[in-house]
Amino acid sequence: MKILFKYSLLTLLIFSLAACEGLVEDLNDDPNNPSDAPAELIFTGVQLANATTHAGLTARMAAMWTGQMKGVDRQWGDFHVYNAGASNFTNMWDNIYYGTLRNSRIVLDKIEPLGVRVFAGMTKVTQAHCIGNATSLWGDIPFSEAAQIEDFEAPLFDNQLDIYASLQSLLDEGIADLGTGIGIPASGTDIYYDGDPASWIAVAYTLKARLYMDTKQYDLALQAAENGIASFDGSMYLQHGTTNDVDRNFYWDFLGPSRGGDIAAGDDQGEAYLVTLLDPANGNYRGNAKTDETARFNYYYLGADAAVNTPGVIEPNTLSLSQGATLNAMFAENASFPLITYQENILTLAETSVRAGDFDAALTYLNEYRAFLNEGGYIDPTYRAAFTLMYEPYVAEDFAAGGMENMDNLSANDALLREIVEERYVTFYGQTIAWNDERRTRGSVEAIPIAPNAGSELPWRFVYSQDEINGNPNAPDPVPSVFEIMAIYQ
Amino acid sequence: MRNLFTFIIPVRRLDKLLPAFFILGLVSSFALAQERPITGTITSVENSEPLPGVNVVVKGTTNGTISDIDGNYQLTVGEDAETLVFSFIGLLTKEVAIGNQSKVDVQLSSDTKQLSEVVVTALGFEEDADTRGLAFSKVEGESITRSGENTLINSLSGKAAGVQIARSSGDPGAASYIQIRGQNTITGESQPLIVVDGIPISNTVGAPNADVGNSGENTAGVRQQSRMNDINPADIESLQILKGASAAALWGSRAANGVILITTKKGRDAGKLDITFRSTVSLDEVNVLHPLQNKFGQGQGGIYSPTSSRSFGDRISDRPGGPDEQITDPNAAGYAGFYEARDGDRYYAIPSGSADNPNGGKNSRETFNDAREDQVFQTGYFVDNYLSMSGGNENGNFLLSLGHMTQEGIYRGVSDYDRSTIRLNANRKFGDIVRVSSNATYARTISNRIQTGSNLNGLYLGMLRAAPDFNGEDYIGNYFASPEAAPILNRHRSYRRYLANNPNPIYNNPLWTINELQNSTVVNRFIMSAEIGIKPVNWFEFIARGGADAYEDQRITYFPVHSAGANSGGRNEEFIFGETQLNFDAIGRFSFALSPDISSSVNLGWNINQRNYNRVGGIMQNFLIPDGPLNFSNSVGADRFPSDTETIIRSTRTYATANFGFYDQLFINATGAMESASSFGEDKTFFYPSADLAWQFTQLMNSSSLLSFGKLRAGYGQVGVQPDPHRTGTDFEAVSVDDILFGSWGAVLSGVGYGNGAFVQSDQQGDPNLRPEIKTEWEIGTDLRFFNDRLRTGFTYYQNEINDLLLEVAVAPSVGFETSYTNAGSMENRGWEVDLGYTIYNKGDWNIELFANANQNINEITSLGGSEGDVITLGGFSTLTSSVAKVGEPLSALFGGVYLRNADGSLDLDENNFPQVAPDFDVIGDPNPVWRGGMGGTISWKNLSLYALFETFQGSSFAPNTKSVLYNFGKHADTGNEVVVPAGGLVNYAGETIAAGQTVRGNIRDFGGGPVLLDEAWYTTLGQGFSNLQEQFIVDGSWTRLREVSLSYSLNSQKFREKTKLQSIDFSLRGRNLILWTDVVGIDPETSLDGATVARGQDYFNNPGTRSYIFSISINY
Repeated sequence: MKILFKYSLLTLLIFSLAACEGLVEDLNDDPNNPSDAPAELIFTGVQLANATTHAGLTARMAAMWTGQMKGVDRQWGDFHVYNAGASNFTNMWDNIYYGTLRNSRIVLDKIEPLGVRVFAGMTKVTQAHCIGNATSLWGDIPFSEAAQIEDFEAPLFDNQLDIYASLQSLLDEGIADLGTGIGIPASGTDIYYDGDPASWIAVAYTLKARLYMDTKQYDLALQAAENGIASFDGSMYLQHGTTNDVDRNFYWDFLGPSRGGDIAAGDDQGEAYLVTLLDPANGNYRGNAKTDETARFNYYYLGADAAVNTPGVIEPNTLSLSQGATLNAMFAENASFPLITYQENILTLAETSVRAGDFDAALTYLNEYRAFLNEGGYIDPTYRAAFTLMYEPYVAEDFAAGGMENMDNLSANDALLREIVEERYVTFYGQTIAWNDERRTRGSVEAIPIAPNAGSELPWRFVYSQDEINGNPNAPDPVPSVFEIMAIYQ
Repeated sequence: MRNLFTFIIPVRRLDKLLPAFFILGLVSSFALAQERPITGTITSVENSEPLPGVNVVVKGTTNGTISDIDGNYQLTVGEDAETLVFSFIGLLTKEVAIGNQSKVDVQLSSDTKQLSEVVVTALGFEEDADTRGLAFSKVEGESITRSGENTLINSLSGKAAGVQIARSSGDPGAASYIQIRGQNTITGESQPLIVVDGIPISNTVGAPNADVGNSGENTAGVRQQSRMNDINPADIESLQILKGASAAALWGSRAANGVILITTKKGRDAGKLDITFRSTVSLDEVNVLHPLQNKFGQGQGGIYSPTSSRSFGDRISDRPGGPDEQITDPNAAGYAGFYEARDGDRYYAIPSGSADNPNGGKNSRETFNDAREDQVFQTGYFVDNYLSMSGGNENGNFLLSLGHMTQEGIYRGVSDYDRSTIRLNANRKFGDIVRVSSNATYARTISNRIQTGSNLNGLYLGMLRAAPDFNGEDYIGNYFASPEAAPILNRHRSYRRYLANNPNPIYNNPLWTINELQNSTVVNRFIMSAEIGIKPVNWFEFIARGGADAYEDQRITYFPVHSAGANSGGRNEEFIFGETQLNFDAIGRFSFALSPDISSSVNLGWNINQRNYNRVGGIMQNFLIPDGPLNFSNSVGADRFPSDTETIIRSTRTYATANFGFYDQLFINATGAMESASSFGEDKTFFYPSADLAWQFTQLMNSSSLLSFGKLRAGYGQVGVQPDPHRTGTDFEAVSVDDILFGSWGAVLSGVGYGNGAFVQSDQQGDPNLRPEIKTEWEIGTDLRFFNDRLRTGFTYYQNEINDLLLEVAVAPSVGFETSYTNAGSMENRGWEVDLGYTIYNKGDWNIELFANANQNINEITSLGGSEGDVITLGGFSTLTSSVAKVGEPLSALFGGVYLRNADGSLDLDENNFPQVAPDFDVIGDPNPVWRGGMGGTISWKNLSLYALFETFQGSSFAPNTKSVLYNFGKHADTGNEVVVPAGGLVNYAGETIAAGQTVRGNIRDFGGGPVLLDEAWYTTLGQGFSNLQEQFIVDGSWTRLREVSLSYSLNSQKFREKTKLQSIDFSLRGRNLILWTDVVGIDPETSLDGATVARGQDYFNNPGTRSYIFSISINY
């Protein structure tokens, strides 16, 4: 019995001690997700992440703060009066830094050593698009050390002017890469141009022009825009579809299914400024003998009597063919969303020309744009058919003192500049660049004359992400408020 | 070889222990002798029944045996043997001189002073509680069934010090949260390990998805079941809670939250078939409802609007009365078609009001808040039947039980819970050497649930926000855009879409929620276990114990076409969740005496455990045929989203325990477990030691009737929490519906819809060096009994520290990740527990017993690995009130916007004397109680018994978000008040001055700068639950409740037994949760927004709680 005991005990001990670790090895690789992915698929993800940083919360906030929309219920009533807390911006920062910048750096790490240059160029332009937008909204932000956790656990907040400068070089690098024509990614990788280098080069120039506009380097903006997007077809639009949780228009989803009733374009205090400009029945209507905004007004807004999300007040228009309507509005379920457009480029040409003192060139560009609008422009065909529109060319006299666009006797240049800036404001409906223009021109003769939604001040910026404030010791302390001016506007 | 090497390093500490155990084991085998056999029978003095299991030892030696089921024993003793010692827990030990007898029969009497409990150790072996240095909490099966609860977890409420049970909702079968001695983890598994007859089983709450620690519960959806509730409470013999680390250390990294050991019922050798049939009927009703205003109609600014989200419209009593004006003429202005309900009622547009005519076309003065409650709520019920048959003889026994419980919820809709269980327990002995036992349980639960919480399809969200003057009875019907138009079928009529002229109702009509949605789960579960014991010699037994727990949960979440929000095109989710747990132990047990005064037992064991999780299923949306079958073919390919997830965790443990008793008064117990688990990073093996000491100091004293028993005890131990599996690396994940999505408040972009699909690096950084969280705890305590054991007390103080907390640390987004999963941070708990039992009177037919328990736990997070400002959101709403982990605060602290204050702490008011909100969020409350307790008693006279249990929960904060958000909607009763403006007038939040003498809707309040008027301007901006200023709403969440009360009678007289051949018939009448005292208005503060998770103390349109009246009858043959 002793022997039996001894051996059984020994066997037990030896068996158990020896067996332990070997039995649990190699079971912890994730059976659900890969440990790496091809650059092509990552790039598509980067494009989606980047798109949300232009079409999501940032765009809605900007629209509320530039008099294009009004927050009227739940959190959005509070945001409307500039009470936007830091916690509201974390999701956007995640999409900017994690979604776009981190993953785009992974793409570059994979493809640059292989000499895949067109693809690298597209990636760099996308980075500049994302970070350019971010710095225009938040000012000083992490960039040079961002999204490289292996090297920088607490990225520095770069000076805003330095960021703009480095984005211009990044775009130049990207243009050079694209110019080689070598290394076009597989079809389906790029959701905008399917890898076409020429289209990307044009986009890169329009983007350069946008960033120069932000920094008021108008002559450089003019030079860049001359190489920018030359036709509506060359615009970068995010395509949308009708599948929930997959591809629906962000505004449509927000204004309708997700947060119906939170954002309108008017309330008992009155209509948003852009409504007053476009509504033919409004005293502030910008139409004139050469201009009929009826179609654009209806394409943008749904009247109080017909409003579906905020019954009783005018609202951003979400009518959709896919939902049984006979019209497909600006924020229809599947309406494409403008990211970088021909409209922006030509209006930049117009504005920078007049700022350079070239009245004639500016007027030509403006009329070229009006001719585009007169053909329907970017307005959905259902609205062109259902409502009247007219954009006849302006002539120099229209901007002379007492002319139809200069009743208050400004200089002709200023009058034209004001008209171009206003056209930009109207055209950039729902985009963050409308707010860039408003801030850039604030206080000047051509400024968009919006009144604060509350108090006596207009905001200059968004608040940094709460997670960034909590997690990055290099985050500015105290956190700048929305009313603190940023470097490029000083 | 590397593996072996890494193993050897941590093993070093055990190296010293193992040989010691080994030698101890060998020592015992030296007890050799030859010589004479002695036999005998041991019976009871009281009833002459044979006593099995009695220890028989030759005094002064290690030579001994135990009696068999007939009380017989057989022992070979040495020639020099003089005395036999007979001992058994609960019986007086007796020494008998052997002399030259070969047959020694003895009778043992019960030790009336010996009230010590039999407790079960972590390995499932029974021990005398008085020899252990730990605090045990034991709940008898009888007390579980007496609670009248149909789920096991809830029946434990209030029964044990340091054990907090919180039901998350009154929905049938909804999960409950168990917390033992405070929170032990932030992101890991927060629920105790459940061990049934030695086999761990699953207590998953919500969804067993990729993240084991993530319960799958959140602020929306339905409240799912706790898997522990698949066990029929009636099958339980006793349930014991190992609270401390020292008691549970053998379970290593699964024991940080304590271990609940369940012992199921077994048959007995009664010489006959025992049959018990019990039937219980319960009537359940809502216990608290939110007070709502019904004075003002739908609209804003005092003007009626039939589509407004708010109820700040006209005064209903000012309306002319009579039917509403409707626009029926297609050519009239404002005509909007019509809606025809299923019963034929037609609804046309009602003209909105105006400043001159505030009620517009709304003439009726009827209100519908009460009607809505009647339409939604009913008296729910359950019927629980239980039949058990058992029997046995000296060689074995069996018990077969059948249970069926069927419950209808408190909603007049699709809300129910059915549980059927079959269980067979069988034990058999083969001679004195081999015994086998097995358990087999099958459980099937079928349940339908109601959507709750922050959810456009949630019951309360649409119900409580609905305007008081909106009649929502006709919730489904057809919409006609014009008299000529074809109808749009089955449109959903809600208070914001009263004509159903839009596919999206914005918020569900509550009747749609309870009748048209489907949230079903069907669970099939098998729990099997078997044990074989081989006892070749009387001092050694080898035990092999294996078990399997497997279930499959089929869930359907169906939103028909025209449900609110993104589901208006219809949405159906079907998933099969599967979980399998396999467990095997091999244990060697040695028991011997080292010397006459030192008794000893040693266990050595090895365990392997494997858990597999699977989830397979899919989501479909935009049905092709609106009322088509729930089949994926009813949508186009782009609208189908299949997904699957699987995880595996395997662990192995080698463990040893040693118990030594000195002079029957000092007891030392030590255990050690070496554990390896697949989810750990580079270091795969960790050691968990524990030790405890018990000293029965009264053994040294003369027996005294004042202090009849006294024990001092101390314990120390380490336990852990496992990392989630598959988290040691940083993955790439699909940008798809089921995974990483890029979006913002609603819409999202998925790679499914763009290009060739998309993958990105995970937003969470993995950690190749993941370790288990380690909790180190010590406790000291004393058990004292006074007045011949009539007063029994226990006191325990404990302190623990949890290091290497596993956290999903939110990182600064600019580093390129959203979170990082790693070991970071630490947390502390300290607290005390008191148990008290007092037999006040016990004479003749009367018995009066009193009991009480209380405990305090203080939790503090000491580090979150990063900067002091780190906040980890655990639940709630990060933009409003959330539950967070924050350094220096207790876990689950409530976090939100606070008042802007002056340097002296007073409110910094604006120019109109209204408060302002500070720019940064801060801690605004602590939902953990300062202390909690249970108290109750039994009064019995003959066979009649009255029992009551009160439970209290004191000093906690509560965030009543339903109430505060109803302010925004002008729907809460508080916003329906009217006041007369006092002399001097009042200013409102918009800065308008309201003249004295006017009667206005609102409340007067003084924030410190003089009285101001709180009216619509305040309640729709800063004064409502969506504003950042959440601090203003936090209330004291303390409560006290009459948890249980029961009156029972047992018919078991001799005459009755003879006449009926029955043992007894027991009747009982019970109440559950009958009275609630609390300052929280409108909801039972036990509710939980995030379900059964660590995030506590918040309400946001949570479904209500219940109280119950229960009758049961039990027939015993």
